Amino acid sequence: MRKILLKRILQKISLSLLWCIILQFGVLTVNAASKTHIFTRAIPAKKQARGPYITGKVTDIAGKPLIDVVVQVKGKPATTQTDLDGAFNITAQAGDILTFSVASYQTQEVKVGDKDDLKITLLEVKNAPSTTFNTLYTPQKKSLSTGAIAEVRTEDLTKTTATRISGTYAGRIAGLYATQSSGEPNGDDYALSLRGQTPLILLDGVPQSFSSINPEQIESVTVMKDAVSTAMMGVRASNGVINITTKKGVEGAQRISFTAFTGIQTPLNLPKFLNAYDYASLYNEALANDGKPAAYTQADLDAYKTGSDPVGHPDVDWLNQILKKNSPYSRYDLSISGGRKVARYFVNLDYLNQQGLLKTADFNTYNTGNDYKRYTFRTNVDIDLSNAVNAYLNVFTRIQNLDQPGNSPSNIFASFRSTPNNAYPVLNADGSLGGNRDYVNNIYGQSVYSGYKPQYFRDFRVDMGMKGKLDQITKGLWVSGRASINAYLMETITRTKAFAVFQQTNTSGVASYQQFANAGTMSNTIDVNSQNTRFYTELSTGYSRKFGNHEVSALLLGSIDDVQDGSQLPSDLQGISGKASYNFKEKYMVDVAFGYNGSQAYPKNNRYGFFPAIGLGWNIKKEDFLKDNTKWLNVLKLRASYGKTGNNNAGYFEYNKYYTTGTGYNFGETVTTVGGVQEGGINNANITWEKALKFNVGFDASMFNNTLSVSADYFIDNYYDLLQTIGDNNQILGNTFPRVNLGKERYSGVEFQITYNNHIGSFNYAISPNISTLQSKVVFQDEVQRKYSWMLRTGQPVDQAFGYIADGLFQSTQQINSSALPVGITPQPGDIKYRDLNGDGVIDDNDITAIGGTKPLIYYGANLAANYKGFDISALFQGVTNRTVYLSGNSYWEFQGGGKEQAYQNNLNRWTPATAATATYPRVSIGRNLNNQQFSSYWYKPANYVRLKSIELGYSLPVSLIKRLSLSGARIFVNGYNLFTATSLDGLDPESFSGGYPIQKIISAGVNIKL
Amino acid sequence: MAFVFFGCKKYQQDGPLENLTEDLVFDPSDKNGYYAEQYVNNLYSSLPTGFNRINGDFLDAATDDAIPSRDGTDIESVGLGRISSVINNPDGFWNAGYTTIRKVNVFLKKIDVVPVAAKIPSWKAESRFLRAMAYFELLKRYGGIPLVGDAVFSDTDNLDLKRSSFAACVDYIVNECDAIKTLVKQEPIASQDWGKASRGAVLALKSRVLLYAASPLYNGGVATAATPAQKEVMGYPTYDAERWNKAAQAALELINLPGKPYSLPAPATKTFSAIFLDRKNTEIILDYLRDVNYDIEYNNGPIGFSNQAVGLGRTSPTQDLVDAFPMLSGAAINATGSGYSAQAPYTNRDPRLGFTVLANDVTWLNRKLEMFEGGQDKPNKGGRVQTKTGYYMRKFMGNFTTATSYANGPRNFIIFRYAEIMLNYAEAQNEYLATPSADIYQVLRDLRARAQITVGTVNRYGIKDVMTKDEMRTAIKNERRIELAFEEQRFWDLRRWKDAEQVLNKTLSGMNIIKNANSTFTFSVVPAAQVRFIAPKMYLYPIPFAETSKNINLVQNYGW
Repeated sequence: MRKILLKRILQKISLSLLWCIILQFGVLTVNAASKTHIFTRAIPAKKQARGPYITGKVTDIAGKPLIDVVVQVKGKPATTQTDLDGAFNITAQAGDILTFSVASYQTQEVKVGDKDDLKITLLEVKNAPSTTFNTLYTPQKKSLSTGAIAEVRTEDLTKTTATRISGTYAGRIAGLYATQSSGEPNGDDYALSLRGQTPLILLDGVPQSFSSINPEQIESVTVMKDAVSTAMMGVRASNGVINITTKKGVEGAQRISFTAFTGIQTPLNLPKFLNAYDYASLYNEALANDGKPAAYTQADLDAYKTGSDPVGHPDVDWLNQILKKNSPYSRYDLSISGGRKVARYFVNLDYLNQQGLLKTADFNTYNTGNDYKRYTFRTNVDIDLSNAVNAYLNVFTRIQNLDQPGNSPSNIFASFRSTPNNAYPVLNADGSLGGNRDYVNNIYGQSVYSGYKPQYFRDFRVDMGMKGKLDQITKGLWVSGRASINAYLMETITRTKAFAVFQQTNTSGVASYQQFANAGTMSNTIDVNSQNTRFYTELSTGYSRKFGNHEVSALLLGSIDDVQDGSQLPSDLQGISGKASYNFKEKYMVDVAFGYNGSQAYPKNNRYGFFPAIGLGWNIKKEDFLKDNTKWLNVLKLRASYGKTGNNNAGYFEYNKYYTTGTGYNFGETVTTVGGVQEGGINNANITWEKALKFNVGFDASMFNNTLSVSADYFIDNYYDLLQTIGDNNQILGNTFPRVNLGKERYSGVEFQITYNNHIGSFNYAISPNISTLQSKVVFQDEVQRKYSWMLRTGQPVDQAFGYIADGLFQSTQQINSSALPVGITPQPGDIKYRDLNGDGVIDDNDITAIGGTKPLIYYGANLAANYKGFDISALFQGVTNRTVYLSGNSYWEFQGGGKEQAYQNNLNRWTPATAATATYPRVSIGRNLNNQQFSSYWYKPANYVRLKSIELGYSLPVSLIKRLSLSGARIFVNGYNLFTATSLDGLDPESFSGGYPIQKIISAGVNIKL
Repeated sequence: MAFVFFGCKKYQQDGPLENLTEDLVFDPSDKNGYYAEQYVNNLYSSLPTGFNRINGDFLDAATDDAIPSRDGTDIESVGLGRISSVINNPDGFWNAGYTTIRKVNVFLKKIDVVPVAAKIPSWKAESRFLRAMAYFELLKRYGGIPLVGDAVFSDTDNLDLKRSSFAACVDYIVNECDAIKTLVKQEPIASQDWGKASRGAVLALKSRVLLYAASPLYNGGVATAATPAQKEVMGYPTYDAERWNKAAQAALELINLPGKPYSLPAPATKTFSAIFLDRKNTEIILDYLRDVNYDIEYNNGPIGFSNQAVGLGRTSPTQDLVDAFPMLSGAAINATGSGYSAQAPYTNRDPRLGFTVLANDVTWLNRKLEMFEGGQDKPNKGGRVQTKTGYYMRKFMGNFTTATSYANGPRNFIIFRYAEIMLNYAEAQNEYLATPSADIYQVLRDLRARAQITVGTVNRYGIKDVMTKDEMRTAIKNERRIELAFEEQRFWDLRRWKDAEQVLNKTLSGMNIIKNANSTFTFSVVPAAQVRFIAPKMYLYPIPFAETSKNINLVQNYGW
C-alpha cells in the first residue's frame, strides 16, 4: 500500500516537473529580456532639462493616487506614465490637450491652461459589460459562441441573501430550475436542475462545488447547457456544466470594499398542528369511524378545552416551546484588490453568522442552538513573469462551524411530526421532564437536555498555473499547465447524553412519578465523518491567430482528476480533450470539440469514451443584405450545436462481483456468535457510461440600440444507455439484478432570456425575464408486460408517478356497493373512490395510470432593476407552473404511527356526514388507512408558485459627500429574501412542505463602503 | 501528452482488495474453509423465526388467539382480510424464499473446491435442509411454486418458470428430507453443534409437510370453481386418506428415533414455561438461536411499569383463547361440574393458562397486575397503547414474578418441538383410523400430564374415556391451540383445516374488569375486535402482482 502511494506521489511530482520544464523553456526562449520587468517598478519620466513641462497628479475620486496612468499629449509624440504617487510630468504647452488613460477608468482629456500643477480625478468604469464567457478552460467571445451559454455576474449575485451560492443565481437563468426545500443552517442548499439534469459544478475550471461561499469572491457564474459547450468534459458532460469563476485583481489603485449587513430570519409556513382538544375529539371520531371505542371521555375533552389539568391533560404548543420566532443573520465581507501591470491581487475575507431557530437554555454552559458560522478567505494573485509568461496562485480556505443540540434539528422536527400536543407536559409539577411509555423522547429534553454535537468543516484549496506564449515558434501558440489541490475534512464532536422522562400520576392526591429511560453522563467522542482530497492536474496547448478574414483557434488538453474520498480507492478520471474554432469575418463560425476520457469505474477493456460535438454560428447582421437597411437591429446570430456527451454513472467498482458480510448465527448450547458471508448483488461486468445525443438551436439578437436583447434556444437531448434494471427482474433469480445500459429518455424544451434596459432622463431601468419549458419522455425502458395501454411507462414523462385516479369521496353505502373497490378493502362513506379503468369491478394494479400531472414544467424568473440619482432598486421574481407535489405521511395525514403521531388543521376538513358536500379530506382514521392511503391522484396537489425571491433598495451617497469622507463609494441598503409567495398549495410552502426545517424569509439592512 | 496520461494507469486498481471475491470465499487453498463456514452460518440466518415478527406484532395477532394492541398496524390489516396481490403483504415470503434457495444452490455448486472434505457432506446436507425449509415456507403460503432444483441462475437467463404442482413440491421436500436425514448431524448433538440441522429437524420438517399435505385444504380441498391449472398448484385435485397415514408414519419415525433423543421433559424439573427458556432441552428439536435478550418482555410486557421494566404491551390475548384452556382438572370450562366461576375466571385453571397470558391480579415484577379499568396496566389514557382485552401475553417470557426489572435470557424461537410432533401424530392417526386408537388418547394425556393438570380418575387428565373420531378431532385441535399458542401454528392450522372461514369471521372478546370499592373485581366479557376472513381466496396468499406481471407463466391463486 505504501509502495503504491509512493509511486503515485513520484508520478505526480514528475508530471509537475514536466510542465515546469516546458514552461521554463517557454519563459527562457520566449523573451529572456522581458524577465527584467519582473517586480520592477515603472520609472517616472525623467524631468526634461529643456522646454516647459507640465506636472500634476492623477487620483481616483477618493483621492488615492493612480499608478501607471498613460499620459499623452494629443497629436504629439510625448508620452509618460504616472509614478507611485500618481505624479507625472510631461512636456506640453498651454493649449495642448492631455489624455489620461488606464484600465478600468474612464479616459479623460484635459486642456493645458495656465496652471502647472494639474489635479486630475479619473472615474471608474461602471459595470463594464463583459464580452466573453468563462467557458471551459478558455474564455470565449460571446459574439462568436455557437453553444447555449448563459451567465450571471457578481453584481446580480450579491442581490440575493442566500448562504448558498446556488441560491444567488436561482431564477436568473433560463433552463436552470432551482428549489430549496430546507432552511436549516448548513442544510439549506438548493437542488439544481439544468434541462432536467443535475449539473456538474466547476470552480475555476476544476470540478468542485463549494456550495456555501460568498458571492463577493465570484466574478461570474457561467451555465453551459448544450453539447458543444460541454463536450470537453467528456464522460461527465451530459448533465451540463456550471462554471464558477472567482475574481482576479485588476490593475489600478488599491480598492477596498467592505460590506456589512444584518437581518432577521423568519420561518415560512410552520406546520399547523391541532390543539389538544381538537386532536382528542378528532381521535375519538377516527376511532368511531374504525368501529372502535372512544379513547377520550367527555371529562378528558373538557379538561383539554379548559386547560384545567396541564399535567394530566396537557396541550403543548411544541413549536412555541422549542423554536424562536426568528433568528439573526449577518455577514461581513472585505475585499481588497489592485495591482500593477506585473502583479495583481484580489483578497477576500468573509464572515457569516446564521443562527438557527432552536431555543437554548440558560442552565447549559454550552450552545444547544443550531447556529452556523462560516469564515472564508481567498487570495488570488496573478503575476506576469515576462511579457510571455503569466502565472497565478489562488488560495482558498473555508472554515464552517455548526452548533447543534445532541439531537439534530432534523430529529427535533421529526419529533414535532410524531408528537401530539396532548402527548405529555413539557415539565411535570416537580420540574422533571414529562413523558410516558409511548413518548420517551421529550422534545424539550431533545433540544436542551441531550448535550451538544458541534460539527467542524474545513476546506483548503490551492490553484496554481502558468501560461506561456510561444510566439517565437509560431505566432499565437501557447502552452499552459495548472494544478489544483483541495483537502476537505468534516468532524463531529459528540457530547451527547441521555435523559429520563417521568409520567406523573396522582394517586389519592399524592403525585407519584413513573420513570422511563435513564439519564446518562455526557459522552465525548470525536469522529471524522468525511474527508477527501482532490488533486487535479492539467496541461494544455493552444493556438489562436487571425489571418485576414479568417480566424482560427485550437486547444488540446490533458487532465487527471484524482479524488480520494474517505477510505475508498482513489478515483482517477483522466483523458484528453480539445476544441477547434474557426470563423470567417466573425460572420460564419464553426466550433468542434471533443472529450476522450474515463476512469476505473469501468471494466478494464473499455474505460475510455470519445465524445465529439460540433457547433455552427451565423451572424446574419454582418451580411450585406442586412447591414444597412436594418438599422434597428444590432446583432442577429443564429447558432446550432449537436454532439454526444457522457454521464459517469457507474458505481464504485460496480462491474466486479463481491461477497459481502451477511447476518451470522448463534450456534451452540452456550451462545457462540459466528459471522456470516453472502453473495453480493449480481454484477454487470460490461457496465459502461450513459450517453446522450444533444441538439440545440437558438439565436441571440440585440436591437434598438442594444436596449433589447433576446436569446432563445430549443433543445432535444436524447439520453441512451441509461443504467436501469431489466423489466423482467423476476425474484426467482434469488438476488438483486444489476443495472444495465438500456434506458432511453428524451428531454426537450424552449428557453427565452430577454433583457430590456433604457432610461427616462436619469431614471434608468431594466427588466430581464426568462422562461423555460421542460418536457421529458421515456423512449425506452425494459417494460414488463402491461395488460392495458394506460399502464405503460414508455411514452410518459421521466419519473412519472403512477397510481389510481381518485374520483372524489364515497358519499353513501349505496354508492360503495355499486362501485369497484380495492381488493380486500371495504370502504366507508367518506373514503376515496377510485376509478376502475378496465371496468372489471375491482380496483387493482390494472387500474394504475399516470397521475400527478404529465404536462411539461414551465419555470420562469424576472429581474427588475431601476435607479434614479442615488437610489437603486432591484427585484427578482421566480416561479414555476405545471408542478404538482405528493402530500403524504406524518406531515399531512392524521394519527400515523399506529395512532401515536400528530394531526393537522387540514385534517379538520375531513368528510363527515354533515360536511359531506364541502369536505376536502377523507374521513379520518387511526394509523394506516389502506383504502385512502393508496398512492393516488387525491394526494397530488398543484404546487405552482411565484416568489419574490429577493428585493433590494439602496441609496448611494453623492460623490460630493463621499469625497469629503475620503471614500470612493458608500451605499446603504435594505434587502428582503423570500418576502412574498403566491402559491396554489393551500397552507403549505410550495418548496418545503414535508414538515422539515422550514425555509426562511430574511429581511436585512446593511452598508457598503468603498475606499 | 497521451503518453503522460496513460502512463498513470499503473496505479489504478481494479477493485478494493478488502472486498471478498468468490475465489476467496470458495478457496481451493483454504484448508480450514474459513469463509465457506461463514457462508453456511449465513444460510442458517434464513431459518424462519417468530415472536414480534410482523412489524412488531405476532403473526398470531391475526388469529382468534390475540389482537394487536396498536391501531392501524400491518397485522391488523391481515386480521381484517385487507391483503391483496397489490398491497404489500407483511408476511410475504416470495423474495426471501428464492433468496435462500439461490444461496444454497450457489453453495452446492461451489463448495467442492474447498479442501475440507470431512465437513462438506454434512454442510451440503444441512444446506439442503435449509432449502427444503424455504420451499415449505413458500408452499404453505402460496401453494405450489416453481422448483428450481440445483440451478444457479444468471440475470440473463429466462426466469419465466411455471409453478410446479403442489404434489411435486411436497414430493421434492419429502425426498430431500429422506435423502439427507442420515447425512445431517445425528443425535446426540455435540454441544457446539446445537442449532444445526439434525436428523430430528429433518424428520420434523417431513412430518409437518406431510401433515399439511394431508389436511383438508390441500387434500382435494381446492375450490371447485378453480381452473385445472390452479387446482394442480393449489393442492391435490382429489382426496386420498393414505396421505394421513404417511403423515402419521412420518411423525412416528421421529418419535421412534433410536435412543429416543426427544421427549417431554418431566414437569417436576421443567415446567411448561421453562421449556422455552432453554437453548436446548429434550423437547426442542430445532430453534432459531439468538443471543440473550429480553425483547419479548419489552415488546409485550404490561405497560404499567417504568424504566428497565417497561413493556410496550403490543399483544392482547383474547378471551376466546383464555376460554380454550380447561380447568386444572382438565375439564372444559363449560363442562358440567367444571367448577368454573365467571367472577373468579382464573382460579383452578390449566397451569398453561398462567404461562400463556398475564391476567389481572397476577403478581408480576413484584406487584399485582392491574388490568381493571383505570388500573396501572390499563389506565385508559386516551390514545396510549394498552391491552384491548384485559390480558397481556406471557408465553416465552422469563419468570419475572418477584424481580423488579427484566433481564437478559435465552429467547429462542422454537421451530419444531416434540409436543408438535406428538400432536401431528395424533391428528394424522385419528384422521386415518375409523375410531381413535389408544395411542392417540395417550398423546393428549402425556401433554396434560406435563402441563400439570391433575391426574383425576384413572389417569384421564380430564380426557373423555371414549370419543368418536369427530370428538377426538375437536379435542386435538383444542389441545394444539393451547399447547402451541403464539408459536405461529394456529394461523396456518386454521387455514389447512379450512376452519378459518368460520373461526376467523367473528367478533373477538376481551375481559372488562371493574375494581370494586371493597377491592374485589367484577368481570364481564365484552367485544374487543373484529376478525375477518374471505373464503376461499384467503386460504392461500396471492402471488405478488409484480411477479405475475413479470412472469406470464405464473398462475395466480384462485380468487385473487
